[in-house]
Amino acid sequence: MLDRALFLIAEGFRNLLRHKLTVFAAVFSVFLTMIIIGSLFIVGKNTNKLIYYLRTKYKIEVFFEADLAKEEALDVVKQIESFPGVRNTTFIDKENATKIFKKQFGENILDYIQRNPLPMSCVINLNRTGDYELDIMPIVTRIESLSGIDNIEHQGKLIQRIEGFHNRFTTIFSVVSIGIILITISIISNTIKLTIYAKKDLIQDLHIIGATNAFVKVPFLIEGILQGFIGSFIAFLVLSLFLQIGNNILTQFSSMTIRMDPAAASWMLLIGISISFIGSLRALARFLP
Amino acid sequence: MENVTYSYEKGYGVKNVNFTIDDAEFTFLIGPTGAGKTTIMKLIYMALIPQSGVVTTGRFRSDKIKKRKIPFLRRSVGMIFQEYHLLRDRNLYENIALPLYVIGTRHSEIEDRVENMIDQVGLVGKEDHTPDELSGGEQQRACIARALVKDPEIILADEPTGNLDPITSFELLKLLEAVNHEGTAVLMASHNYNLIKGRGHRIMEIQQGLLRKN
Ligand SMILES: Nc1ncnc2c1ncn2[C@@H]1O[C@H](COP(=O)(O)OP(=O)(O)O)[C@@H](O)[C@H]1O
Ligand SMILES: [Mg+2]
Repeated sequence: MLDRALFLIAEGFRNLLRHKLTVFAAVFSVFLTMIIIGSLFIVGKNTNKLIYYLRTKYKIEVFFEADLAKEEALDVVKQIESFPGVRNTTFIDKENATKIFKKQFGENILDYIQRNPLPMSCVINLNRTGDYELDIMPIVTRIESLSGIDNIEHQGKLIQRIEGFHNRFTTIFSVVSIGIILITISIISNTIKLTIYAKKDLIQDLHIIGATNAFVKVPFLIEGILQGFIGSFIAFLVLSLFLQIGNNILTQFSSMTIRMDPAAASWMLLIGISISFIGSLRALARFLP
Repeated sequence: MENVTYSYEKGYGVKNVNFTIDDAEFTFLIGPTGAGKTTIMKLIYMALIPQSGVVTTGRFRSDKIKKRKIPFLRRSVGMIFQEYHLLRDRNLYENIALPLYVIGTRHSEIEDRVENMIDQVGLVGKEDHTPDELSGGEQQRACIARALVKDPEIILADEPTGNLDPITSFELLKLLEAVNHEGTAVLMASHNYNLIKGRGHRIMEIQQGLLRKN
């Protein structure tokens, strides 16, 4: 039993050498597919990281009217703090504003101007998980409706644009990947059909010496798995190489690196192997029901 | 075989055939081309199932057998054809070893049995040859070895000498007789009466799908 299983596995390996042309075609199809899907995956993963980072940085800055009393301003801050979605606030009075100014510009503004021109302000941090899209516009509108506020600054428009881009990318990524996977499965299934068709006599002979359908099928399936493994492994190596080169260039400009994590690598292998395995299974179903 | 009839959509096949082959018996099936010899062979290894009547091969009955059991029937039947049917993509040794892997014989046992068979059919030294690197006579010997290696109860030889010259044909017949002498039943189809006459074996004659002489 075990010897027979080993024989069938060995046959799967030998088939790789016997069907060089179709093996090449199938491996190449898997390779191309996994290069495309792998690239999309890497781009997606890294925009994800960027989005995550941006989401945790979302904040709103409120500048109060110059003639507002500090108590009134603190009242407004209290109100803002009670809004849903607001995590905490940091109130900056005029003295602190000058300190910040001094820190940033290295000079005391009061040396130049008698009256402190800096308004009181408040930084509003939002509840942030990074996992979800954040819609800050409702909070902004509510703050706008409060009195005593001169100006609100936030990155709402930019954030919305990035989120929108990210959503669109995710959808396109899924659709394109599924499309490519289906196309590849059908290409591989047709390639393997050619192999099997060319081996019709052999299969008949196997049946004549008492081989079960499983005995005939297993080597083809193992061949399929190996093709998928080889194709996606080469794709993985090539992508890693390109990433390496890309990162070397990137580190000259910034501290950001793009990487391929082990999870991504396993996914690539898994998808590649599944594509080729399903392709083989489909081809075999035609000839050996 | 009891009252077996099989007719093709476009031809007559065989009609109402009755016969039994005993253990270790050597039987010739003779008749002109198109008489139904191959059809009878196919009925025995159940590539065809009769429309009426019953074929019994070993412990398998044609009216009871399930499709997925047919491979197991074939493990006790050795088949030899006019066109050899060796697998072109592997060498002599691998061709002969294949039926043993199909049966599930242990690896350690396979080597001995295959070498033994190669010796028995006189092909020692040609283990690495692919079928294309063997003569017709050698290929047919290889087929005998492949049919015999799994220790079948019967060997079905469908015109095994059809593509061979008279001398090689005669040597092959002697080889089959030697196999039979060891206790394996042989059913050999041929349209060449000269080859088989006077060998002292049972002869069945078929004509236009009907068994004439038995
Ligand atoms: N697949 C088939 N379809 C239709 N008719 C067939 C088929 N195979 C054989 N026949 C017919 O059945 C008859 C017996 O054929 P066969 O058993 O092959 O004869 P033999 O082997 O004695 O030459 C012939 O008339 C032949 O034409
Ligand atoms: Mg015939």
